[in-house]
Amino acid sequence: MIVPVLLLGLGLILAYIGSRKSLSRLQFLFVILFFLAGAISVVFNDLTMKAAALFGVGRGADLLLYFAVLCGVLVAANFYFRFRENERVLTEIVRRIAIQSPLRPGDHDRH
Amino acid sequence: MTDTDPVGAILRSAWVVIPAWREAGVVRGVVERLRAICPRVVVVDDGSPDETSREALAGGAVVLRHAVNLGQGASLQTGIDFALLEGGEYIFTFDADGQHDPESLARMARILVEHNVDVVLGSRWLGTVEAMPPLRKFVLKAAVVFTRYQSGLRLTDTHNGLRLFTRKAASRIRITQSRMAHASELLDQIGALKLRYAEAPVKISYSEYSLQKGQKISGLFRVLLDIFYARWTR
Repeated sequence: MIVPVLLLGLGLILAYIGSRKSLSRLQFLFVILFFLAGAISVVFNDLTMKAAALFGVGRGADLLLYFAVLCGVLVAANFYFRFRENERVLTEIVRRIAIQSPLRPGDHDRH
Repeated sequence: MTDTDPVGAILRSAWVVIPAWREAGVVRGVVERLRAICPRVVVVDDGSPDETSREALAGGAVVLRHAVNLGQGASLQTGIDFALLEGGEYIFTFDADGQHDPESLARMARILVEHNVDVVLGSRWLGTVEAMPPLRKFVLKAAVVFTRYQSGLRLTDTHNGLRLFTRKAASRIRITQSRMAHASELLDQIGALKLRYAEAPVKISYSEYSLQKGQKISGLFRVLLDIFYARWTR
């Protein structure tokens, strides 16, 4: 029962992301791989155990947890950099407006 | 003063950039005292909710208004951009809270001429300091040591808002630290661009008002974080 549900969910998510066209082809490929890996680790859960043993981690669930934390940090870093960039753009816009409309002591009607 | 007097020529042709945020109570007086010495003053109102713009204008300054609050570093850069657009050959930066003495400008201009430098930085330690709290003194001294280590500049005061740039220096410096780390950023750039610099003794008066408006010690960590961030991502 779990397999068709997973496939349906995966298909819907991919269709949604693909329709947004905000990702490059490479990024889209990574998203597909990411979800495929997730689906596989659910269906064949002994695989994550073997992978955990390979990395010297106790359990498959632990490996997934570490991986999830890593993903979380990367997402946070990505948002942080975008935030800095937005700040830079905002500064530039506000500065240009300020310089384009200086108030000079003579023009009393402007303020 | 005659036209052959280079210091007088600098003062007559320079732009003074004053970043201001919520300084309605004092900015007019500061502008008026300044304009008696240096007639071209531009106040950058950094999105103040009060009457800072109106007061600065009443004092005779040109006013640039940031639509939203961006920080002192961003305000300085806005004022410098404007002064360059207006053809300013010399650009001073000056604090809005009244801690600086307009009389210092002539001394700085003289040092610029005599030492033939691109940048003159005000130093409170070479000059007179009135009523400085001990903790502030300690933090400022620590910043001097830190800067000497970071940018290689040998200065006695690294966080003084009173500066004088030639047009060449001002057009090459680019402040990207919008908030308070700009003072260190500026010095880094002076070092990296190999600009010639000198320090000038300036008088600083710490009033209850300027202390209340000034940087809190707690802001220090934010500044350090901004500096390290800029180094990593450069």
